[in-house]
Amino acid sequence: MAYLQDETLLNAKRQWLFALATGVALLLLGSGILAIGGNGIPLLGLGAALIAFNSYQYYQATHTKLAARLTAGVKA
Amino acid sequence: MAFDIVIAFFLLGIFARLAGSPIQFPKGLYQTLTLFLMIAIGLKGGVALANHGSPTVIPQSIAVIVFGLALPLLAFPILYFIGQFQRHDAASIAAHYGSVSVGTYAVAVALLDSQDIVYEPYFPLFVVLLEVPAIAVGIALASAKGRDVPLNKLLHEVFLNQGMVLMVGALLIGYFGAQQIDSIAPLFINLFQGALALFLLEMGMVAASRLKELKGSAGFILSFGIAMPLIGGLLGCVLGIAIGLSTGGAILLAVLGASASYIAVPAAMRVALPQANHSLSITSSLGITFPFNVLLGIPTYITATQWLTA
Repeated sequence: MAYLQDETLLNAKRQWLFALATGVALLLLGSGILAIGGNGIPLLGLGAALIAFNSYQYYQATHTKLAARLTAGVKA
Repeated sequence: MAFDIVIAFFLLGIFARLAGSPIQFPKGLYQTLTLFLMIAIGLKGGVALANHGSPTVIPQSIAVIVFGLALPLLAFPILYFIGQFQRHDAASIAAHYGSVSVGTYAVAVALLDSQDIVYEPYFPLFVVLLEVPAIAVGIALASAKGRDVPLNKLLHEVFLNQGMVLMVGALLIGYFGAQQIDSIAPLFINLFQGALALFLLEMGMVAASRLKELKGSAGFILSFGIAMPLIGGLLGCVLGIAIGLSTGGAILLAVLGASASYIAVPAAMRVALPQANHSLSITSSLGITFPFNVLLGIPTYITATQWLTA
């Protein structure tokens, strides 16, 4: 569990969770606007895109970091 | 989203920049249009205050100032603890989000007018009132780490920046010269929408350029630039209803809460916090929050507020 202590990974996780919360808020807002007869589709699209983009960034950040550590471990 | 002729110019600007079209506005035009919008909004507000002012404006103004103090206090912990920004960067960005964008306000007013939604005509007074508190809070939040800018220089930038002087000045001129407004109305009132369209064309190009600058912190800044207008918009809408504003007024307060400054605050922050990364604040407010508000936010605040007040 040592990697959970890593500050960079923790930051990435915090930021990803914030993006996730924002994306979910957009999805809820978009659904709400649709429910009351407005056009909520752009908000739904933006929410989904935000979650997808940030999840991809988080995946990249964590895997790059872990891969670098594994490589360093192998070399050591 | 209904087609709006003014916002279409913003989309044209974004398209032109992304497509690499060599449209080049004369250097001073953006500045001229910004000054024009500030004067026009201030004048309209001053005339409205002279014709429709009432004692209820005072408690409403106090509530708006408290709102302006609260917004950067909400933004700062998100930037500092989640975004992991340096203290001065977090304080500077928080100040941008506590203050208001005159351009976003102008777009909201144009949309409300086009949809015949009435609002308090003295609203520009609130725009002026929301300019300053966030700057003071931003400086206070950053000052825990020490600040070596002379106080007089700081006060000068906070209270005598171009936005403040022009809007307050025009508000006072409009208030005291309401009877003679017809003599300058052809320029400042009748040409408002056309000038706004030109302003948005330029802003579309600037916003598209700023988006290209997002690199390392793209994910978080993108989320923050969208989350903060949602938080500020929700609070503004609730506050507007709570202090007895009309539906249009509550929508405008939501828009002001959701918007981020890119004119007055950057100038003040450059003086107050020279060590902060100002490009980050401008990219966030101009590249993300402004387009979000213009394209999606304002129609959402209108629909949501109308539903809440129905």
